Amino acid sequence: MERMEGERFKLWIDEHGIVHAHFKHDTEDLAGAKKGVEEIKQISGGVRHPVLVDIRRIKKISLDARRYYASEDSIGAHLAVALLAGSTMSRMIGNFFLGVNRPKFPVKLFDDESKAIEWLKKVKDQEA
Amino acid sequence: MHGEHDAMNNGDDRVRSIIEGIQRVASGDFSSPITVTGEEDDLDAIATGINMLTEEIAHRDKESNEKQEAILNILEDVNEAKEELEKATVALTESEEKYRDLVENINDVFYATDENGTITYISPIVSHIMDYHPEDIIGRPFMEFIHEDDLERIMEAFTDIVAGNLHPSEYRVMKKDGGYQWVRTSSRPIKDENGKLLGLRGVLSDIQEKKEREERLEKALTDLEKSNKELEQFAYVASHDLQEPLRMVSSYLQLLNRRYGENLDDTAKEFIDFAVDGSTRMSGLIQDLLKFSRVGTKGKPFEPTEMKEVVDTALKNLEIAIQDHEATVSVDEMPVASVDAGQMVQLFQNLIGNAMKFNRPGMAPEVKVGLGGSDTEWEFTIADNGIGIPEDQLERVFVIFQRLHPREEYDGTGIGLAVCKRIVERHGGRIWVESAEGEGSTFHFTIPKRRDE
Repeated sequence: MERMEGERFKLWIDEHGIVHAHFKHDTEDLAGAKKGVEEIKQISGGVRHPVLVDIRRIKKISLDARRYYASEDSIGAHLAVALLAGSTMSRMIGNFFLGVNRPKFPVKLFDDESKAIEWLKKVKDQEA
Repeated sequence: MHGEHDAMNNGDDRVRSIIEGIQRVASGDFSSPITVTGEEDDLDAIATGINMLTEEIAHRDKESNEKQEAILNILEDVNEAKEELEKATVALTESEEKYRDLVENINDVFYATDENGTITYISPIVSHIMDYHPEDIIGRPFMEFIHEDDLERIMEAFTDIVAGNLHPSEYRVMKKDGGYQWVRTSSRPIKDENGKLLGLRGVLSDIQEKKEREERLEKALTDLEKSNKELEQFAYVASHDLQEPLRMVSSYLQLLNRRYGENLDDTAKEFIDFAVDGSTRMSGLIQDLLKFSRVGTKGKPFEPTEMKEVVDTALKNLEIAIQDHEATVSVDEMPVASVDAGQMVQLFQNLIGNAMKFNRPGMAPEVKVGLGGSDTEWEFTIADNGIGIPEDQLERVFVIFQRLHPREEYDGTGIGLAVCKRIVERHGGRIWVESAEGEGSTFHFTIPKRRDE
C-alpha cells in the first residue's frame, strides 16, 4: 500500500485503487489548498484516482480554498471525491462545498467510510 | 446548577451573537464574521455556516459590482465606438458624396461590369455621350452597344485586359438614336483574392471630335499625296510635251536668222537673239522641272550603297569645275547607306557644285564633306568657304525657282536645292543649312540608318 506524508494530507492508496487523503490541519487557506491538490496528484502518479477526503478534522476553510478545490485545477487530480464528514461542523462545511461551491466533478458527502468507499469503487468501475 | 446556568447564559450570548451577525449581514455589513468559539457544537457549525455564506454573498456582491462596472465600461466603450462609428459614417457619407459629385460631374463616364460583361454601374454623364440614361443601360451586356465592325477587335482587347495587359481601346458605341459615337475606354479587371474575375471597372471618354479631326487629317494627307502625284505627273508630262514645240520655236528662230538675216536690220536681229535666249532659258527651266518631277516619279529602289563611291562619282562629274576654280575637296570616311545611288550622286553634285559656284571672289573654294549622326540616322555635311547666305534667306533657298542672286551674277534656274530637298525627303531625311553671309555655308542632310520597308 503506497503511502505519503504530505504537508496538508496524510495519503495512501488502498487495494481498490482509492486515494485516501486525510486533512492534517483544522483550517485551510488557498496556499494550503494548492499544496493539497499537488499532493493528491503526486501520489496518484499522473493517473486520476477516486479520492476519499477525510474532512472530519476541518473547522474552517477559506472562500479561496473552497473555490480552488472546486476549480478546473483540481479536476485533473481525481475521478471523483467522497467527502467523509463526522461532526456537525464538518458536515456543514462538506454540504456547503457541495451546494454552494458546486465542483464540476462527481462529489458526495458521507458519514460512513465504508459507504464512501463503495461509492468510489462504483464510480471507478463505471469509468473503466 | 450554577455551571448549567452559566452554560445557558453562555448559550444565550452565542445565539444573540449569531442573531446580531445575521442582522449585520442583512444590513449589508459583511466585514465582521460571527465568532466561532471552537467548541465544535451545533452553534459553532451554525456560526461557521453563516460566516461562509456571508463570505459567498460578499464575494458575489463584489463580483457582481465588478461585472456591473465591467458592463458599464463596455457600454461606455460601445458608446464611444458608436460615436466614432457615427463620425466615420458621416465622413464616409461626405466622402461618398464628394466621390459621387466627382464621378457624376466630370466629362468621363465611369462604368463597372460583372464577370459576364453585364453593366452594373454607369455614371449619369453617359447621357451626354450616348443619349441613354444609366437605367436604360444598367443590366445590359456592354458588348450590345459596340459597333459590329469593332466587336471582334474589342472582345480580343478585353480578353487581353482580363489577362492583365492594360491598354486603352478606341471603338464606336451605339447611341440611343441608333447612330454611333467614338469612345475610348480604359478598363481594369476586378478579381477576388483567389484571382477569380468579378468584373471590369473603367473610364469611358468621348473621342468623337478627336476621331473626326484624325479622319479629316488623314483625308487631307491622302488628298495631298494624290494631288502631289498628279502634280508630279502633270509637271513631267507638261515639261516633256513642252520640249518639242519649244525646240521648234528655237529652231525656226535660228533658221529665220540664218536665211533672212541679211534682209533684217540690227534691231530685228537683236529681237531674234532675245527670243532665242528666252527659248533657251525656257528649255533650261523645263529640263530642271523634269529633273524635279523625276525625283518622285523616276526614283529607283533604295539599296545598300557605298557612299564613298557616290561622293567620288559626284566629284568626277564636277572635275572640270573643281579644276577651273582650283578648289580643294576633303571627304571624311563614308558609310554604306540604303539609298537611290543615282539621286545621291545628284544630291552631292548639286551641293558641292554650289560650293564651287558661290565661291568668294579671289578665294579658292575649300569644301569639306563630313559625316556625323546618331543611332538612327547618318548626318552628312557639306561645308564651304563661299559667300554664305543671309540669315533671312536660309529657308528660301530650298524653294523651287527661288533665286537669291540676279541671273547676271550667277546662272541657273534656282531649282538645284529644291531638287536636293526632294531627294532627301524621298529618302526619309531632313535637309537644312547653317550659314552666315560672307563666312561660308554648311549644308546638312540626314538619311535613316534602317528602313522599315
